Amino acid sequence: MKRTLAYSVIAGYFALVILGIYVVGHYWECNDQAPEQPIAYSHVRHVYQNGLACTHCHKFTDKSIHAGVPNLDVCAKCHAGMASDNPEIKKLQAYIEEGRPVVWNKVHVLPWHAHFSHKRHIKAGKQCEECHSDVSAMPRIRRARSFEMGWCLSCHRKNNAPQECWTCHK
Amino acid sequence: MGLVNQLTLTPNTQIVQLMDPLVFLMLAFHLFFLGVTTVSIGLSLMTRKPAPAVSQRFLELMAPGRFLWLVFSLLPLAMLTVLYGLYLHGTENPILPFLERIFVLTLLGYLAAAFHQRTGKRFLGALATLILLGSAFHFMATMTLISVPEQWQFRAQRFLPFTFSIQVVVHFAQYLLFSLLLTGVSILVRYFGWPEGRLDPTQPGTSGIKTWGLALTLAPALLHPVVFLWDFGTAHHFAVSWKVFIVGMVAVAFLLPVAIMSLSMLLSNHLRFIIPAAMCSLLVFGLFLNLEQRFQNTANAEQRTVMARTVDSENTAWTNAREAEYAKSAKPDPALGKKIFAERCSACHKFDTKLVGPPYNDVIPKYVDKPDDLMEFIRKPRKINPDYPPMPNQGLTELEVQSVATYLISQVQDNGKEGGQ
Repeated sequence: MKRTLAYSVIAGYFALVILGIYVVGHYWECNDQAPEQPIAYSHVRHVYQNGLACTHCHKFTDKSIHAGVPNLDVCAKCHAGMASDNPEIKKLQAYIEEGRPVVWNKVHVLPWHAHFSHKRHIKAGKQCEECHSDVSAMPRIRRARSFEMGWCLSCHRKNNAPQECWTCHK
Repeated sequence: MGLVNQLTLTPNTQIVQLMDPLVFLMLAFHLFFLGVTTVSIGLSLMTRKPAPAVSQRFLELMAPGRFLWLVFSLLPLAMLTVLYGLYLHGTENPILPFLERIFVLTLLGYLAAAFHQRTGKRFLGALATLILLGSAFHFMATMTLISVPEQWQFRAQRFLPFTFSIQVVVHFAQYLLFSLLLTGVSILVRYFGWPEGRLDPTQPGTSGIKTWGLALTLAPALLHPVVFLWDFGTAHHFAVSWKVFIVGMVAVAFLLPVAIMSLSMLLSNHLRFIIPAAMCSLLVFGLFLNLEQRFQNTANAEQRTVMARTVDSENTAWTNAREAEYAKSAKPDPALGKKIFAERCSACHKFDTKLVGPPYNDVIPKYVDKPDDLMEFIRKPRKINPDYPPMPNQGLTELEVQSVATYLISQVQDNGKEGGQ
């Protein structure tokens, strides 16, 4: 009897841990680091296969705190006639015709209390892939770095950049 | 570093396909042998005074004095260094120097262990245990670091990956628990399951060895699930995919029979489940290694894609070189050029109107006397006119490049004649 109870307790404990792993997995999936987008835009197609530079679409990387998401005119410039049979391009053309903006799901989200300027980092000579990894190999854009304070500080220390709190926390 | 670079080949398709199973095998051999050797020497030292017979059995378990570690641990570690050299090909990372230094550290640890077994000197055993534990800690830290590529540039100046981040502590705890578990099942299989090595129950210390074997199997099997959960809770989001949770749940599920069987053997004083318990333990160990590889592969997904592209481009370069040889004797085919124009070029170009690219009648005439320049542009397109987006590389063969260039020039010349008339 005691032995059966011991086995049952052990089995219950293992079941709890398996449930715990499932819960962690569910939490991870709810906070997807590569969310599905309204249009399946592929950086592999545009950056790797077609050789577009990052600044071709993200025009404000060296001018503003935001890199900027291109407006649909930029897409329309090439896609007025190119690959128009592709269902994703049809979606794009519908957005253009209806004059609606594409509401992309944000991937690189920083907390509200962290101030980050693309312009400062680009002017300091940082390359896009240092923070965003090699997007030319991402069929769907994903968050490939932690964007945690420790990581930012490691880089600031290494490059002798400002490390005062108010540099990032305005 | 230089030595590894010389040994490291440029990745090719076969090596890329073989890399994952090879890394898995080498990790399995190295960590199994390192863990069991370390724990068995430690146990031998602990039991030396109260039970010398038991202590001697523990020391004989992996027999460091027979230098088997050269084949089963150091050779796999050297192979791992070369394989990770390929895996991280083209990146700036501190992993290879770390693995080279860990190799030297592990060699020193095994040498101390070998001399300990041969001379029986206690301080050599203690030294071997400490060095092997240290080398295992740095090895697990290096394995963890592979899953965190954002940290590579900040560790490049270090001699060893001295780091006590939560992930390293969890991975080292997993290594220690697996070392204990695998030592436990090795003791049971070697001294109670293997017909040729089975101990006589009347021999002194046999019962003690059995109790140690069962306790070393049961305790890690019970503790390990929590550490698995801890591992998932602390893993970096960019190294995780949904498959790792499935593998983790399966691993924990297979630990349950290990715990139940070892408890049953401990309570009922029988040894019926030695082989099933050992098989389940090895399976869980394999799943743990698979998890480690999945963490590394997910974190370095882009690097792996880039490596596959390098392989592809090198293969294409080789194929193109062969075709270029062939094309020297082949004549450009206008019909082939027309076909390529219809299939590829016409999506963006027309002869008389601007589309995505400029009209051919505007840009081709300058190549009429310089067809080689047009062919070079088709082979390696670059941005010329800022009003148009850059032309993508079409990946044409040498014969196709010559054919389409000849076709375009001939069409533009014909259009010019018609315009003149």
